[in-house]
Amino acid sequence: MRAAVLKHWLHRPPTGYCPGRTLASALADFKGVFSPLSVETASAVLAVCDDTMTIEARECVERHFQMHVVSLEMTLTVAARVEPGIRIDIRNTGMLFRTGVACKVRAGKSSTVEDLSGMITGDPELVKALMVLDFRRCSLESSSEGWIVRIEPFGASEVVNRMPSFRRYIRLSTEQNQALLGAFRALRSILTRKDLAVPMEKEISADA
Amino acid sequence: MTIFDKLKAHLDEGVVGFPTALASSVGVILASPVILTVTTGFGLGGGIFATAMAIALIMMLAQATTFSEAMSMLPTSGSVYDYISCGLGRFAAITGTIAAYFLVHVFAGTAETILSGIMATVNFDTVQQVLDKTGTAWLVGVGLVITFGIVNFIGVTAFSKAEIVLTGFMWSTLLIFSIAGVLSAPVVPLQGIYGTSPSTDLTTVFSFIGMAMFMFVGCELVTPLAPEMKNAARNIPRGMTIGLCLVAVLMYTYGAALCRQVANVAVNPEGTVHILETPQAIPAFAKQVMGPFGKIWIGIGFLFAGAATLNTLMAALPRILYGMALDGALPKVFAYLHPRFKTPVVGIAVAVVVPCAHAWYLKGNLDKIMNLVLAAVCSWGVAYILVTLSVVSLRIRRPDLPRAYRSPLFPLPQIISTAGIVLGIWYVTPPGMHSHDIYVPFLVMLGAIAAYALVWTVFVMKVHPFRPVPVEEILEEEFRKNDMAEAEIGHVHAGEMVNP
Repeated sequence: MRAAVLKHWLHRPPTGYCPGRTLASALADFKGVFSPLSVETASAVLAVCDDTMTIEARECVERHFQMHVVSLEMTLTVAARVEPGIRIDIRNTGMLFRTGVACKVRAGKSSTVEDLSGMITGDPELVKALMVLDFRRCSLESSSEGWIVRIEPFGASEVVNRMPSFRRYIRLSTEQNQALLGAFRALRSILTRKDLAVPMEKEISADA
Repeated sequence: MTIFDKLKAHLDEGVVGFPTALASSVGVILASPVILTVTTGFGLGGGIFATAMAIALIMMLAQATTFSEAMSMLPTSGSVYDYISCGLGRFAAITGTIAAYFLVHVFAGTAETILSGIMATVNFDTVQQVLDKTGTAWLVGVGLVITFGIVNFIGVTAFSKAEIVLTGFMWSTLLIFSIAGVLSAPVVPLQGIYGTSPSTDLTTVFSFIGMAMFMFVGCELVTPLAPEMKNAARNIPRGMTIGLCLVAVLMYTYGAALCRQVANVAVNPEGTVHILETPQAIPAFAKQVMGPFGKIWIGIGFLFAGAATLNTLMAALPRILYGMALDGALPKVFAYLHPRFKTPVVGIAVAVVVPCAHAWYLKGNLDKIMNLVLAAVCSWGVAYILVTLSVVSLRIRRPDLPRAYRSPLFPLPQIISTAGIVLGIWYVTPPGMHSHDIYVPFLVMLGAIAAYALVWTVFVMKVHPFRPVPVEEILEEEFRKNDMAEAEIGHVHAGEMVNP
């Protein structure tokens, strides 16, 4: 009982957090690029205009002392036959200015990982999008159902502070919106390539 | 549906309730400069400071009714900026908003920097003696600011996991030490609860109002919650009122405990500075109440709270600057993210440089901390007065506007709060301090932001700087955003119903 109360207390949202507020502002920013298919309090499934792709947007709260930041984690699931357990972070390169895109492999050591890293860094559409997009995180993760792409843009977030007291939504500009869409499209295109799929024999031997 | 029907519906709906309103109204009480201000206030004024606190509480309760009425007319996320825009025009709105947010960072952030250096070394007597002799204790605070600047630069969220524990720990610490200090046998024989006062004339009382106000500022954080608050017109005024009273009760208890447990002895050979006027009073109080363990406890608590507050300053301001750069209100360089760490490095650099350069300019002089706090109070006071004038102006010019909450006994609360704040600013210098040390930096900064606001409104925004913005224009904009999101959501739900 006490443990449950303590757990509840430790996991309660920060003071001043309004579930869905940042998402609602972001939905207004997304207009013309992403449109919602279904909306829960703090998450939504978005359809991409002129495309069959669907993306899940979920509010994430990052706590600080007497302050919190609400950002949106955008997730695209790409159905594919792929070996599970691969995790790759994608980031920009450069010391002062963005010079390109690099991959950091967090888990997985197969040839698929090397191939995929090469495709990501060599894809002109993806590089173009990620050179424009202000993002905090961009990662790929494989599971038995396929690839999960997660991008957390810097915009479409809200900062709530208590010393001094203010709250401010940071919008996602049209250019950032287009870059976000470009990144998802390029990554989907890479991840659905046939040469990345796990061959049937290999999958069977792995199961065995 | 008219815009005013929409306003009523908007105020009635919401997803967050009264507890959030209350928690958001408690303000900035956990910041180290607030605790130091109370300590110094009771040290300098004794019972007079307790009276000044009561006056400040009444003023702030009156101010809370003004904020509540403004919120009920304009339940927008822009809050202070929107209230003043509609009441007094864009020039006053920009000046008031920057005074309330950025100037507070300049003054209170610097105070926190200097103070955190002192609190960081409070449990290390030898280190502290060396730093005191060389007058370099403030460099520890500068070191902390630079450290957290780097931590934020590389994108590490230092206190994300510890925030709840740290907040709970600091609240418990204040409460436990205050109650224990009151219940323990007194060390100091006192006349009354808070001891004798240097003087009981009205001017002396007024001179402590500015300090006392610092405890209650920040309660307006709750007002931007209006669009998401259930029954906002009822919950927000209640939250602000109860929150302010809770802060007052805690601070009265802390003050009583402090006065009973720490003898206010002189700490310099001339006998001009006493212990309750210095940060050393806090560990001395803790040691008296709980022994050496108490000193360690409070030292660790304040070290972490101070560090976490500095980290927050480094994390919040750069994001605001990023958003302003994106909106074209600041140069684009503030929207630059470091390629590798994805952090707004220019904003972080500004957030580090402002308090560090200010602390360096002041040479970390402990005597200046209270001046900084009082300059911050003046900045906050200006913003509060502008909000009050806006609400009064709208009552006179636009009596037709629907107000789900009306400030009772209008204009009495507005007169009380404005007169109190003007008196507080006019007599902001407590005995033993020099008024020009507070007014000069405050007026220079206020003049600079007023000049910026004038240039910005006339030459960049190209609007009349003093013409009030119609309330309908602000509401239309707010509802347009909401409608856009709601229309999308409504469309979705309708789609779900026909295609289960």
